[in-house]
Amino acid sequence: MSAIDDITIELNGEEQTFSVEPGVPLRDAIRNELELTGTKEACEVGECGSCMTLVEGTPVKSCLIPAHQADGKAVTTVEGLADRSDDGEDLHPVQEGFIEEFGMQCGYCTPGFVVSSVAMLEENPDPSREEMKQYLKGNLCRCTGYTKIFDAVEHAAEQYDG
Amino acid sequence: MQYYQPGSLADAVDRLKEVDEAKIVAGGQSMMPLLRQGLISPDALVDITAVPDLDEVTASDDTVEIGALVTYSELLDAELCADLDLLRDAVEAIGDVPVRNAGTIGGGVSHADPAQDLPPALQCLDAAAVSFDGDGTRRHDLSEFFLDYYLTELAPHEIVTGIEFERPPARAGGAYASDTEAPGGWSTAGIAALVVPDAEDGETCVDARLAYCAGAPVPKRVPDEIESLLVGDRIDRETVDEVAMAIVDDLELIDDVGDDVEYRKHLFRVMTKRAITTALRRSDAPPLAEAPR
Repeated sequence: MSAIDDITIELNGEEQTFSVEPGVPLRDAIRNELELTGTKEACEVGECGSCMTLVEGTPVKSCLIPAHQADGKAVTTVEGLADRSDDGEDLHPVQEGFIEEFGMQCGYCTPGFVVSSVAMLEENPDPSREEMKQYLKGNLCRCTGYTKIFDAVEHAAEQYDG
Repeated sequence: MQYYQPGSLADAVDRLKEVDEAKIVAGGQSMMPLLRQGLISPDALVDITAVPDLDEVTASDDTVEIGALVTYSELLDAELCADLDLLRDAVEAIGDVPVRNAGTIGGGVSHADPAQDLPPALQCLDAAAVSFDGDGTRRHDLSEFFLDYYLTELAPHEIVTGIEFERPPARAGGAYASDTEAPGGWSTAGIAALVVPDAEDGETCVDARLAYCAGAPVPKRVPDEIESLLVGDRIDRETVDEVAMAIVDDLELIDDVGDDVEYRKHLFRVMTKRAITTALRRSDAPPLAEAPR
């Protein structure tokens, strides 16, 4: 096996093949090789959740996943959440929720929160505030105190219901 | 650095043997932070996630086998965790949802971080880690397995393949109590308790097991002389207090920058009482008896 390997993932519905060095995390591959920068880098050690990514629909911190492990798998980043099946672009209800409730201040943590929230609502479309707190524990926001973020997720959950 | 994804255990062991400094990676939740912070720089990573048959939870009425590649989230979803409060408590205390989605039980145990939440629960269940070294399998009593900070009995080319334990009797109760400075962070005090009431009278404690993390260089089963304080009578509040104080004396806390040893001792006192009283409440024994006046 060479020092650089080719990896193929289905990124946001589109098959992508790229080269990656051993031990490079999935996040760096997404940002540097595939040039999608919605997956943020911040803490580097799996504490902040800014790099949250769905691998086969499961939320993981992509700074802690070797890119090799995503080979052959479906990967969804924040860029892949909006519905572009028609000509336009319909934002995901969670994205709408963050806009409607202004669930952000500086916005750096927002993509991570959005991705985690999408995964949570897939599992549990009507979470209580306590369930939200537990599920979103892996995402840190240093601006908002979280209240507006939970409001945003609640707003999105109402769209899921109705 | 090389990256290998062997398709069999034997192949994985061969890879580990042929490279001077090789590290096993599974869920990545412990290994990747070390790599990213430059704390380790191995010549090769041996990714064992493609090794078959290591991702099953097999539970009978008597015995439980958890494959090394079972993630914490998969373990939480297994029926086993609905039955075993102690195990469920401890797994729920680990990190957060995405960490549990990727982190594996074999990886956690092998990493041997002294603050990990699951080892104390496994030690109370008298669990063993099963490993393969290319020639055969070995069983390691988890109460003896951890030698020092991040150091285990494992040889460099030895791979943990699973965790095994016998189910405690249905009348037993277990709990894990822990505290963290920040949600999702490492535990600053964590203690697991399992109490078994007498099958005949339903209240005399006949077996008590305690173990803690974040209080010593290793996750540690509490010495027998402390556990046995709980055995032989119905558990009362005075005895629980006595046990909590004895555990505080057993701790090997380091007076580190930014760490308050007295506060940590206080946390261990509180968590010990919480773990034992919760375990008792979940057992068939009556709740905690007040000390006789």
